Amino acid sequence: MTKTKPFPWSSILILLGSLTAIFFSGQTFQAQHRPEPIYPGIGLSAEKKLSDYFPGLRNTKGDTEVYVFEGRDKGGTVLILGGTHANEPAGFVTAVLLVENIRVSRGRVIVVPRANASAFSHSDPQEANPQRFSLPTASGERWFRLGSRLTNPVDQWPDPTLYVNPAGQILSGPEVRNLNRCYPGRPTGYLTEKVAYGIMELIRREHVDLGLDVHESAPEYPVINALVFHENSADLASLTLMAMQAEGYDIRLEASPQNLRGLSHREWGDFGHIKAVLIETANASHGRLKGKPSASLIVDGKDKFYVQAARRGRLFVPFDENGIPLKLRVARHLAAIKALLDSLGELEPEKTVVVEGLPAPGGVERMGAGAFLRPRR
Amino acid sequence: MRLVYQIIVLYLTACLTVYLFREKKVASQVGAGLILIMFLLRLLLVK
Repeated sequence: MTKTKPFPWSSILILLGSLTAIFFSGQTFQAQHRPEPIYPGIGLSAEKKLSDYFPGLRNTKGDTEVYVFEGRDKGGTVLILGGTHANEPAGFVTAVLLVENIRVSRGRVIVVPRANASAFSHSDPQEANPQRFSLPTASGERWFRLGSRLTNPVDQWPDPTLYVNPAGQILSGPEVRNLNRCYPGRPTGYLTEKVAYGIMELIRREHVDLGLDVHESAPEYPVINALVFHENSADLASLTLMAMQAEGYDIRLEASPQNLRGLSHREWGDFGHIKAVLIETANASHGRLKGKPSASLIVDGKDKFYVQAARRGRLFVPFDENGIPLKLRVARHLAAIKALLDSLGELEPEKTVVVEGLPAPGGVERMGAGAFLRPRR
Repeated sequence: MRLVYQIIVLYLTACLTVYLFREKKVASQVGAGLILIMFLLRLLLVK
């Protein structure tokens, strides 16, 4: 008597279950690719793309929005980059606040909120970070993605074992996807190098005088609450330091190391011949000592483990039960940008840039960044 | 390079699917099904 094989019901059911899980998890992954809306204010003169400066980026995931604010009177040109690292939300939110609020009466301000657009489309593996966080505004919640420090590997893969960046520095392989290690870029290189090259082209073609790269870092990182400046910008950074301290913001200066290559504060100065400053604030959600990652950790910045670390003298910034909320980090960035613009005009009057509508740092500290975001359309 | 990657993942996905239908223990089938989720997401380059 021949034995018939039983119908594989369990295998089919499990396969169907797997396909269902793929459908829903795939949608969650894909949601991270949808950009959060930005609503430029009335001061916007032109909205461009980075591919307008380097066509090699057209129709790639590296292309990104460039917002130009031009005054009636001639003055200097300032480039402000947010989202170089998409997991440093204060830099991105600060750039969005600028795009949605400022008007320029003299000179020009160019803002690139999502400098590494691809890095916003995924999150760091094994970090359990939330995909997004939201800020309350007068017209309801506005959401923002929390991306990764690196370009999405779907857009640029594989990483080399060792990466020799365009400035000749040897780095670990994954740094090939770190925009702030890829300057001055390569027109025929990796996608991230092309983005860096596009930004260098923007600097060259728009005759930028001062470049600001807005970042965040972990409270245990030594270069924190700091201005990292190219040596050509030492006087500018010093004046800014005094202005910020007069406003009550504790800030320190760090000279850009000459042997640390590929970073904005080094190569913008060396290759772009502009003044270059990188701004850092302390973000608990970015650090290694944090507890459970969550959207509230990003926005409220409270973490009991960092409180303990501060008590034991392990941090480079004060950290108490009130944490370091996003509104305070954004306010610090805005205060630094305002002080840098004022100092540029003081040092080189012909390069003065006059900006109106810049959210007051004190107001952002009191009411939160959401109070200065434009209503949803 | 991407095509090579996808061919490798496709081969492994096919092996897993065959294993899922050959294996008699339900616990092993569930294990294969869970791993299949990750392989198919990789195959479709969903990240």
